[in-house]
Amino acid sequence: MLKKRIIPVQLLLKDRLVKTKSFNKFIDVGNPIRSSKIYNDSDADELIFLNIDRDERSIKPLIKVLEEVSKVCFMPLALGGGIKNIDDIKFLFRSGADKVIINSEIYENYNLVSEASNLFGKQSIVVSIDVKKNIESREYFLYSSCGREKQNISLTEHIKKCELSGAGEIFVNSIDNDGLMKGYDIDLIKSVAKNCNLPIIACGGAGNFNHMKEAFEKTNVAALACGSLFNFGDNNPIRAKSFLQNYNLNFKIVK
Amino acid sequence: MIAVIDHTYSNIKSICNSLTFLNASYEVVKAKDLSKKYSKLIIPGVGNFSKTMNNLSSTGGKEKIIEFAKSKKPIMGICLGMQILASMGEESGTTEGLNLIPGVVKKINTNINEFLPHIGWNSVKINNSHPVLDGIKNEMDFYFVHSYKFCPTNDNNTIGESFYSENFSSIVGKKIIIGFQFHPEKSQKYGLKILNNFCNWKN
Repeated sequence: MLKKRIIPVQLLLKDRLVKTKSFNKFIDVGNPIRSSKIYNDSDADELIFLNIDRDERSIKPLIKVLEEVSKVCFMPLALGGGIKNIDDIKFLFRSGADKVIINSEIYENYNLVSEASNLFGKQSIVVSIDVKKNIESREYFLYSSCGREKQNISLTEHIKKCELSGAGEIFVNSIDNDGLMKGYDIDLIKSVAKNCNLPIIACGGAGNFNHMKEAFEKTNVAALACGSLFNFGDNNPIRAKSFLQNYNLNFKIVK
Repeated sequence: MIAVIDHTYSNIKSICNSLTFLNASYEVVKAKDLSKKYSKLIIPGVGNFSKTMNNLSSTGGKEKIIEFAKSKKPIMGICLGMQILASMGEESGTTEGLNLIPGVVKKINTNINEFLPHIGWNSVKINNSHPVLDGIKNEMDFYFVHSYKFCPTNDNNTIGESFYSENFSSIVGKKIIIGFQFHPEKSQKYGLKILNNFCNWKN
């Protein structure tokens, strides 16, 4: 049986790991290499690295981390933030990435997804979508460039285009809930699920294990990603899974 | 010395990192440059069956791998590297494989709620014991990423099985050849254990 996944998200700013609130207010939470080793030992299912440095929109910071992390972490590594073209993608795969995460560039060029998907297989192409909810209309709006630029395309249409272009997974991040630790945006996950036949990784808002339980039980999300939950407090993926296994949720067995 | 086959678009870095971590001696080589100096062969994967086989055929790599297999030295295939051990593949048209383990590679039949590719951690039921699986318990989880499955002609070539919409062979083996649909190099502790067993496997 295919297991649900729990994926720590590591946000990179210069050489450090940070945590954000609604894509702002950067708090230093440590060294990326050291924390990856800890996640490797604490049973994470995969690791996601996102370069969120607004002054450095390139893959340079990712490559630096990848070279070290891939020597000590023998689990899937997904990286994004600053990918501009197919050469960036080739370079990341050559440096040990298993998946690349593409976001802003897609709005200008859906072909990047198809090109990458044809070369490396759709399983390795993750499309990341940053979403903000309009409080009054309850409508979802998409943002690119680290949450700074509003896009005109609707969530539904964007997802359809990404899926048709050959995306393998959808990583959906709620800008509103990011870092607030008040729970995932369940409606957002459901809206994404309704519009695509791809595994979904949801991110933004996990503050305790019950939030994860809620998202796994109320939606068909394949994986939950979280930052703050593991960065602050004495939590790790092993503990999260021990809790969730009490509710008929299945995770990988390594013992 | 283990030869790790470098074919165009596969991510060989992770397999190399894990072999380095295990202190195994290996070299990355193109299939066409395989020689007698190598005692074992690892064919890693990720990519397209037809593109990879066409590339191996046109460069002469296919013959070199088949010749290597005749010398009765251990071979391990991973993911696409396992699938091309088959006689035939149906990804992007019908293409002949290396025909080292009789079988056909077909698309997984999925249900309405199960998507392709099959990505993630899934358990493996071990049907037959095997030296490379020494110390691996039944029903452990390994990391999978694929849309196609290896259907061996002979049931006894299925060493391990997994379930995603249907049962499929997740480990195939024939004599000194073994193939894994999942990625041992990405499956943490027990994945490394399998690789280590292969490195120490004496036929």
